[in-house]
Amino acid sequence: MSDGGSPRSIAVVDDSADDVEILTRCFLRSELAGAFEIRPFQTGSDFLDHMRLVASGIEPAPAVVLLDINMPEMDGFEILRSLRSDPAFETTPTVVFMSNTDRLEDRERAVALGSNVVPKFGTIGEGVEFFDNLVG
Amino acid sequence: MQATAGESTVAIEKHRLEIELEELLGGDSGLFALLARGTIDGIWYWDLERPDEEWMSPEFWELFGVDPATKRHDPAEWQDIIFPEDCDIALANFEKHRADPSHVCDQVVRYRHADGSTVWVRCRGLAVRDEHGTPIRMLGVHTDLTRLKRAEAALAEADERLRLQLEQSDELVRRLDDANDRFDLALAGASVGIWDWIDVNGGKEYWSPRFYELLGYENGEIEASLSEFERHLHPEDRERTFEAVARHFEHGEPFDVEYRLRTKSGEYRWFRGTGLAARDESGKATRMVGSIQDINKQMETMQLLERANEDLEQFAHIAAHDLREPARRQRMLINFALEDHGEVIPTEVKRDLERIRDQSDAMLAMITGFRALTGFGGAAVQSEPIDLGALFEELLAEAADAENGDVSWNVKVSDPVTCYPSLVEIMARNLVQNAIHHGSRPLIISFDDDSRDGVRWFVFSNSWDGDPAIVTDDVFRPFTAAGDNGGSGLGLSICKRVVDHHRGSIEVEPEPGTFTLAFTLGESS
Repeated sequence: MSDGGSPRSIAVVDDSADDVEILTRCFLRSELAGAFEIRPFQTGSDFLDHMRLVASGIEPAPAVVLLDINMPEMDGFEILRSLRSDPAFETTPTVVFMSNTDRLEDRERAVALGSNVVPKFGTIGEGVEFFDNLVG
Repeated sequence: MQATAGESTVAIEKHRLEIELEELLGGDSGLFALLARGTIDGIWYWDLERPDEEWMSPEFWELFGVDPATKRHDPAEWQDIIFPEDCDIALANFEKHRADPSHVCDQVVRYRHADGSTVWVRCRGLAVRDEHGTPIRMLGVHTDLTRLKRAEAALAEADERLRLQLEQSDELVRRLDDANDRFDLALAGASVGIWDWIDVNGGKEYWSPRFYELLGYENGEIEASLSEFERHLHPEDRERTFEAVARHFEHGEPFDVEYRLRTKSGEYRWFRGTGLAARDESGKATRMVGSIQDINKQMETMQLLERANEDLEQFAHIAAHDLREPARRQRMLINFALEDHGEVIPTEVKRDLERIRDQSDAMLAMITGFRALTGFGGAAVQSEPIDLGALFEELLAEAADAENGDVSWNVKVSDPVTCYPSLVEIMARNLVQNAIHHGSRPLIISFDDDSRDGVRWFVFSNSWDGDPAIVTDDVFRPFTAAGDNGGSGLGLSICKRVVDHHRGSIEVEPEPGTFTLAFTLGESS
């Protein structure tokens, strides 16, 4: 799971610093801690800029991209569409976090864009379990 | 009454009055025969000096279907078959003429024919007087008027029928006028225009004045035709409109379509078009008559309502998300604090943090319920069969885990039920959670189904120590049951919403020791 000794990254695109903090703390409790690292991006633009560097071979590709949907400026769907528009990232694993109040059609849109959909964690246990099962 | 020798080979004795009459006519038997047989329908010659003797020609009797040989030359014979009231008239006239030559003896009388029918006869008589003017004979002739009278009667009957028919026609015309007036009034008031596709194989139509008016035209300003209708029909509505016509023609499906027509000013307005085809003996549509009704205002209102609902749905979605996320983060961060630093946090602070977390949980439950309550309308759900018993088994097992096993249950529903699965799952979760929050311990739950008046009812029960007297249908109103037991106060409201979505029924049946909730899933089950 590592690349030349440095841990592979898990990209997290979320405008909420608290959510990133919660994700990170769950990650650190999981079996992935140490083998992977969390790479947070506060906006879709930051993330897509990074992916352009990945496409150029300057940055290593993230193992998986975790996305929030509700973000200002560029929402999760737009980020997914931009990502998928580059053939190099057509199959990059992505996970969209949704709350159980989100609409069914939004879930379907995310799936149609080739993403997995996972409910936002309600407990620490759920978060740890998510990361434990993230990379098979 | 003596037969003249050699006069005839037939041994018929001539009556003396007949002989006298022949002589009276100048002894010309040919003229007499012509008169008797050729021009008139009977002759009678009455001897007034011997009034019981009256000669009647054979034609006289033949007119009444009587064999002359069977009759005597006696006035009593004809008086026997003449209608009595006519006989009185004839005899009265006769007496007047006898007394006064200027009084004409001429009357129409009726005789009874041998076959029972009535024979109408014009009977005219003339007195033969002696040198003193005293009537001594009465000569009379009969003319058959029966055919004329029958024709008269038939004519009168035809006249009567005609009169009745005219009366009925007048009545029909009057009623038609009334109906037309009412129809015109109804059409004018209801914004309905009438069209008549006179021959479905052709394009010619009739449009009522109101039809034209609805499109902004003067009556007859444009041709009433299928092509004009099509020209005014909104392009986006054309295909489904004519498909509906085809379905009506071919399968008899009701023709009831909402479409837009362009008015004279160029704007499109919404109309409801309905119609009915007339068919020939083979069932093929030959003609179609229908109406258009202006529903523009209703459509605009509906579109506004739909937009308002969409806005409301969007608002509810954003509000739920924005309310939920801080509560969820708060809960998670408290959990981290308790887990990572629980040992060093003072007991009182730890208890406060736990209480804050419980409040976050309550808020999360309420927001989730609120979203479920408001979010059904736009949900893309499809009805399909599911194993409802298995779903409840699974949810109850989950709940038992969370409750450390302090739950026992018995699920007896095995046959599949057709429903909206995602909605029914929401209801099932709420029922289970309702039992968890409100049920008495040890918690015993049962889920069963039974048939009531042919309708499948599902019955969910749990142990309960509440007072049945205070439970009313208000339990289905939001926040009625909110309390300190961790419930959102929306659980049963959501259940009712789900059942309503299935057009089913739901009711509570509280009893001492048991709280039961029964529901149907409407037509889809």
